[in-house]
Amino acid sequence: MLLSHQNKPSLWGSLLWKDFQQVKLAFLVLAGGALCMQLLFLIIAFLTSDHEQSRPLFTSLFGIASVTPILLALACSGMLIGHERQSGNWAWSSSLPVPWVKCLCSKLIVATLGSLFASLPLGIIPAIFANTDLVASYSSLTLLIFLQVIVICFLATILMRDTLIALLVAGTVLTVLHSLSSIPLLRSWPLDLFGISPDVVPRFWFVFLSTSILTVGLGLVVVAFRWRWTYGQLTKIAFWQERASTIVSGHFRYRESSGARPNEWWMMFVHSLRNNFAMGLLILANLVICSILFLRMDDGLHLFFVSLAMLALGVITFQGDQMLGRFRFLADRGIAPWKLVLSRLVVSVGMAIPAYLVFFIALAFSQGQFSRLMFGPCAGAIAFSLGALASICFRKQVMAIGAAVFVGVFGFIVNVTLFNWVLFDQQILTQVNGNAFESILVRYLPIGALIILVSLFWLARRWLVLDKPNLATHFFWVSALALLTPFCFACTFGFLAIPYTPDLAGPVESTQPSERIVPDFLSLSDPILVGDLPGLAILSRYQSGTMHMIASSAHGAVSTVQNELKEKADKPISELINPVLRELDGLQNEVKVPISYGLQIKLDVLIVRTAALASIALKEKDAELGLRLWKLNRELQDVASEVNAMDAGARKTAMYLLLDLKSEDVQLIGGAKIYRSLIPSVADERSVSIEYSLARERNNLQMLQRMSNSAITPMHWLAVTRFFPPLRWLYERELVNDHRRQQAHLSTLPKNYITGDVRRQLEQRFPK
Amino acid sequence: MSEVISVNSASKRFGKKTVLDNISLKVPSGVVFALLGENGAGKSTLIRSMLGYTKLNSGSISVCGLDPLRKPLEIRRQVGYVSDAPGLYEWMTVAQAGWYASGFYPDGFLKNYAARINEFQLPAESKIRDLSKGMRAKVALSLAMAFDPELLIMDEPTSGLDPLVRRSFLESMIDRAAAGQTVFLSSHQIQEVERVADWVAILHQGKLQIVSPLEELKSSVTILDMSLRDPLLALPDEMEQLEVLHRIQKGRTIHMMVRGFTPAIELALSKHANLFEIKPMRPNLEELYLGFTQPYESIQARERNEQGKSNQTEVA
Repeated sequence: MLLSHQNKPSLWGSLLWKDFQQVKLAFLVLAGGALCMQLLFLIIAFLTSDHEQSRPLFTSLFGIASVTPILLALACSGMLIGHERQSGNWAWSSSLPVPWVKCLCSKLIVATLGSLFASLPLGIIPAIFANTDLVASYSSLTLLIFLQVIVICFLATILMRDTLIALLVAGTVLTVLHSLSSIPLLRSWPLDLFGISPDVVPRFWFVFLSTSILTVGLGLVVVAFRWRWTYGQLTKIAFWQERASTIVSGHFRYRESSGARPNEWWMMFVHSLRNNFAMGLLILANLVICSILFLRMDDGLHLFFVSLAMLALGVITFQGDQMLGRFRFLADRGIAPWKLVLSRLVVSVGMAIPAYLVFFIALAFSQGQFSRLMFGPCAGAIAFSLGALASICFRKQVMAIGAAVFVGVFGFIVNVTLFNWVLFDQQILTQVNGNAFESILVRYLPIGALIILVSLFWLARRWLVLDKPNLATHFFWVSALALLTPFCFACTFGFLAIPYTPDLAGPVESTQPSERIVPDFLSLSDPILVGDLPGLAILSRYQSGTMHMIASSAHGAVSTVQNELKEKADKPISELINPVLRELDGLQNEVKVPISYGLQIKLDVLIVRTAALASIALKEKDAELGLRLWKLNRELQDVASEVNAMDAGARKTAMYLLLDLKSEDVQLIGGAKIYRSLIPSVADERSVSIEYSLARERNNLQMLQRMSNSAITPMHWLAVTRFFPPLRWLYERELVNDHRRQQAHLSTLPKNYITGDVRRQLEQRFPK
Repeated sequence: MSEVISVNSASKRFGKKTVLDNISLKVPSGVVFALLGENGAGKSTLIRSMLGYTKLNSGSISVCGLDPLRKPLEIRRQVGYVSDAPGLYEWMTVAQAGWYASGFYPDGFLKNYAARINEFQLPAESKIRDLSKGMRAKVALSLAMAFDPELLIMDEPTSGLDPLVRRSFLESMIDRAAAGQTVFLSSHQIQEVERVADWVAILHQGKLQIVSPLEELKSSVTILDMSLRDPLLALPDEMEQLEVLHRIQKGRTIHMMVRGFTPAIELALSKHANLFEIKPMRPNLEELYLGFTQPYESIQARERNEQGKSNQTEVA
């Protein structure tokens, strides 16, 4: 390049070029990675035979499109402000005749527009497969959160010297600010002051907080940037003041008063503690805050939090040594790599223990059923080791965090994809029992963590001995090996975990009277019983869950249909029945199949829908239509019971709606006699579950036999089971084991254990 | 001769530590001005104050007639600055660094920059991260000089440069001064600085020890080596007329750095019976630096301490 012949760029051109060059790699990796994940999800969705079941996967597409701009915002503030300050670029840039306003604007433009443009392709796939209302609401929500993240992260990185601490603080501040709306006293003031409807309060709070954060945050960013650009460059904002009794020697600090030569291990430990303690505390504080805020949420959310916290704890393990090349000081003094790694890991692992405690306590309070009790620590161990590996392989904190998050998420998706493919092939949920393999996979997850930890000791030698070693490639292949090993181990050696080979006998009939075992079935809570039943359990979790959730889903069903009525205000309610009837016609052929997940879904939807419509018809005082719909509902339930496709959750929802009918409505449809005839006949839910379980196990075995004989097609190339013959062995044994356990458990259940309570209330309302 | 930099009673404290203690100095235009001082003397803080990076606790600074805190942009347009650790973007190539910086300066920057990197034999397409420390310093120098600034402020500019480049660089400073531009540099390379500096200021523990044209300083100070016949006898009265900046006595020999040494005093000393082998010499800059950073009072205090310790040992 002949410099003297080049055109001089404009001031804006220079600034924008420089800022874009700094973040373009982050854009490429994050946005590209997110797009790959979306495509992966899309492939999984299309590989499944029933698209109804792919809905969660399509929701994941939205999730990826929403989270990516926020991740880009974090990366931009980290690179454009945090990294510039830490590497001294800030000082050089400020010595050039650049107005600070233009410099700030350039950074904001690149961060905001760049992130949004990079995220645009991610909106294409969700936009194609979802309705426009959903896309619009997702987009506006994401945009508001994204702007807040940009502003708060910019502010934190401007004020604080350490990028990672700054980003953690920014995350905490945002979470705490948004949690203000959950405080009852604060929540009530919009009602008192503006007379806002309680339904609109959450939206009001979100808009109010977002606007406030953006306005105040932007003002503070401007003031802080100007100060840092000019005479505030060297000012340090510390959480505490250094004590005067400490003196600095090289990169170490020690107490003046300690006369004796300190122990090497002790020095290493203290050094590690000083590197990580503040950041570790901050991560733990974040975890505690998030766990408290989302205490009553699903256990999956707590699993996510603890995994994220463990990843962050892993990332800080060696970042203190990476900063300003401090590890050189230790390397030059001949410190053994294993000692260095061990001293750092001890501190980080010590901080991971409270993180697990927080996780377990949160689980105890959450509505989940400890299903993650085993999975949580194992996933956390993998996340922690990935973070530690990234921190030794990448010098820049931002790169280390990005790489660890990316590999963690990508590894998870790949594992889940393979897992799903191996287990479910093309017919999700109905054929192979997932629990059997999941329990085996979880057992092998710690092997992945162990591989990474061992490789840490190996890489530490290169890290310390070589000058500027390029360890990034090592990170990727080591993490790939570690993430795929549990899966391969589970496939290959899983059968070793089974001590005996049971035969596939018939169901174990219990001779014990259920009443003796469980005298009062009403005292049982549904989710535990339902949750233990694979197949039904998954449906029930989504559709019924706890009793409270069933009751709320009944109200939800009514409100959904009411909304439809409002939208079609010009049409009479009877017109809404037509689509329901059309769907019923389509069911004629399907009911011949004994077990069909798709049929079950359709019947469940119809049962809930007809019950909700009937309730609304009666509210509208259309007695004829109301009665017709209740009768239809009753018939549907009978059909569902006959074909063993009955979901107890849907039935319970319908029964709740019937129970909710007012006395005058009952009179309207013909009085107590007619009302009693609408109560569904007693269906033996225990027998249905046993039948369902038996049929499914038979299907499992048939499918395994079919798979061994079928030809390899392009669609089957991922079916790795055929390359791991022991896996099939494992399947067959684990399925039988699991089947026996289920049968034993089912036989202990009382009849009508799901709908018994509501039936009792229905029957007591108008006794014969 | 007009003043390019004017510092009036500047004081700066970081917490309880006073880094600049009532500093006053004026830098005339068209000279090479060297600021000398030990590590932690306050050189970088003074330079940063001149560029508006540090707010003084008291006093004022004017650079090119401008207040650095009020007019930082105007100062950056007129002043080229090279810090002791220039934080260039490591992912940029040498050419890209120049192209990027040229956006902030008038036309002609790129041409000058290209000439500089040719002169320093820098590989234009190499990334900054792949350059050695010395080559990075050359890039920073090229960037600072490419817009032909009226005043060039450099904090340890020659550290990391090889001797040949260092010499050619320092000589180019003379050319700049000859062309009417001013160079303000802080350095530890005293011998190199001595060759090019017109003015010298010595900063010691935040206090300004001396500001003076180098030649004037050299001519006003004399190094005096002499021997004593009897060290217990008092020195002649003529010695009282001298301002002793630095003094070391070992046995019968005395090494002094003094001001106000005249031929008349030399004659009187030579006639003194207790003194012999009196050798007056003109000091070089290194000797002057040592003289001002280890002043007579501190040496006396140190000697008294050492005397006290030896007495205690003897008693024990």
